[in-house]
Amino acid sequence: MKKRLPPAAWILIAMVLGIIIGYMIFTNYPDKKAASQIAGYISIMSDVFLRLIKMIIAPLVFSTLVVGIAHMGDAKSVGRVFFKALGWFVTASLVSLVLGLILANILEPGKNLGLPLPDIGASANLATSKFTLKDFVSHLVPKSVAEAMATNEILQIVVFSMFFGVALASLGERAKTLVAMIDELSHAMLKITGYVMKLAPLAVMAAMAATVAVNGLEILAKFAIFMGDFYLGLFVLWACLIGAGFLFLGPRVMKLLVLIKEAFLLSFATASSEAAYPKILDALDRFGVKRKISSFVMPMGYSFNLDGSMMYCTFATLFIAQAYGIHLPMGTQITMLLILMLTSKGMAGVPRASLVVIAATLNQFNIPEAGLLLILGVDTFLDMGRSATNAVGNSIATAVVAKWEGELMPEAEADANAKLLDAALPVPQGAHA
Amino acid sequence: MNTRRPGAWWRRPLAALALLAVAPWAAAQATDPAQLSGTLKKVRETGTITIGHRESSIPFSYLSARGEPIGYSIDLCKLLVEAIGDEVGRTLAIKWVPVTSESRIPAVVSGQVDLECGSTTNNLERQKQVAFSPTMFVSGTKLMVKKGSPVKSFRDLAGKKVVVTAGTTNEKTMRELAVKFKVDMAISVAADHAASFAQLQSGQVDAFATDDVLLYGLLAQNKALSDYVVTGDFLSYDPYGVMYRKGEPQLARLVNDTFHNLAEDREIERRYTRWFLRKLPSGVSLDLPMSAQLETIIQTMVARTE
Repeated sequence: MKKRLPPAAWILIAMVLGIIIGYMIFTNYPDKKAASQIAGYISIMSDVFLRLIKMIIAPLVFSTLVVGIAHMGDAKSVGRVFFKALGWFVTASLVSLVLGLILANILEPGKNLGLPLPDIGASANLATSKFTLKDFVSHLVPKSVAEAMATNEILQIVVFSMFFGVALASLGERAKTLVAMIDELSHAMLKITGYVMKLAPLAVMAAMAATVAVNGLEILAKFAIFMGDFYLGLFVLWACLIGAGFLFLGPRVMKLLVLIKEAFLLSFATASSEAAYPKILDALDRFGVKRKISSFVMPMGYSFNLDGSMMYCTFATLFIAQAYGIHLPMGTQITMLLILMLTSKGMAGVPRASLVVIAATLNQFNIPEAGLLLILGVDTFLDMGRSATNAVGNSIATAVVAKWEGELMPEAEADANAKLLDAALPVPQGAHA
Repeated sequence: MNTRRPGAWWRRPLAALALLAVAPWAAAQATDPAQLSGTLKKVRETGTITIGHRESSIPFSYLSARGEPIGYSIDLCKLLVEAIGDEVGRTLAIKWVPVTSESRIPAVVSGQVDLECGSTTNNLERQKQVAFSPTMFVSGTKLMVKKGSPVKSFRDLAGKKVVVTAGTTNEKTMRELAVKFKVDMAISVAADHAASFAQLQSGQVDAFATDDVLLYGLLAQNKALSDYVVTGDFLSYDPYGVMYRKGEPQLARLVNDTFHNLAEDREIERRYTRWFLRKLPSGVSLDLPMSAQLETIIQTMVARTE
């Protein structure tokens, strides 16, 4: 077989190509209508990809989680993993929020902003969601399995799958066939993931081209300070996450980063952390995380462990306050942080939901909500960084919990396992591993 | 002595718990006519809803050649009326009442109209008197320049001339920007938009600053799109919304839910395309693509957690 570029290289090439194509469209069609029409056609490709990924997620979460829990055996270890994961999520959320707060205070991105500000009295009137227990419960508890799957409510699918898995475990021998069947389903879903991922470079190219064709790149220069500071913040956050991963996993954390690079680029280009879910699951398999951990921690992380979005909440809120010259005393900032700790849990991996949370925070602290109009214009570019960060945060969280539970294979075994996966993948009817 | 079956002790609390779980759901269904209040009660009783419309706010709310109110805001309001009809359980007839920029707020407050569907900027000052739907359009001051002009943003106006139309908020915006960012621009004032545009056409000024919708409208009317450029950034921001009476939680919830559903079904996007990108009944097309701001706002409507 001829030498082939690794998939991540393809994605990187696609990304650069996408930017070039997008910029060419942007400059060659000064008429914005034509540019946005062309972008509309191009984005069909990325839409197809994202739809296919969405198609996979529900059955993938269900099948991997049911099998994982059925193999975990007792409810006690399920609970233990749950609390360990939650402990990590809470810590990571707090670190992300604090980091956003510290950086916004040091860098002061909103000071001396060279941009016209929206009138202080204007109201963007963004739908604000107050965190209510009722909303949270309705996000958590399914009233219909079919509805949960149909609407891709990950948490609801997790709840149902947990019941199902525990039931299968307690039935033992009598449910052996069903467990085997669902296991086979999970292999089938991962196989489909493999097919869909073939489209990834194309989707990445289309997504980048469409974004750049509509927005251009000049806008990046205008918001250079705000965006530069936010991305700097994301780098620091990555360093923190990797550092924390290093504490638990040792130098192996680097291997994990190499494995998730494809997923990382994918979620960046498509501004969707969901798009990377199946690929991260696969990467964690290769890293040696046992499926019973990854299938459980990952979907929960998608609701509770959105590190990039969390950091953006404090960062953007303070940015707007600074832009309007509103001084927030440290005490207020800390109160805000603690409130965000709770309210941000309603985000549940919905695109743009962090803006809704920010809008609510602004209202609560009497910061001009009009400031949102300023950052809404560049949110697409920020969403990319947030999504990619969420993907990194989740994979590290899962690997750490696995290590903590003693369910991380030693490196040699993991490598052997990865080879097995590789051997099984390209063959259409390969023996499932 | 104990005749109760073992395990029965938990039944009562559990039943109470079950009731508790159902209660908020039951409260969310307000279709019971007896529970309707305010505007919803009124329209249920009369079978009519009154909509305040504008006469020449193109393409939001204006009169067609046949004298019927049409436009982007009118389209959205008709969808809203459908949702209100579903909620109160009867088909509603629409009574149209023309309003002006001066009369629109008193008309809503006094109950003369139930919904105002025009091009009204949502701001905190007005929120003291009326309530607003989620943002349906983001307008704002932009600059129009001749194609090939070196002016790409307001900063390039230093030492140049810009025209504004008398009495507009755009005039205020430009004067404030000149002071705040110390851009030494000469601001000339023309009597109306046509006169302002004429000044730009004749080369008397380098740029014309007004609301972007108006700029695109002028270009469309004069079929001059290829000779002029509207620069990209907003110099001020005016988020538009539908007005209704304040202090009506039932109506407010219904309006927000309806916009959420319309956003989810991509209906807002379709109506936008119809009025801003396709040909208007007059034969011209505004060719104004959706702003990044509005696009993101619509996405957040869908994202709203509930």
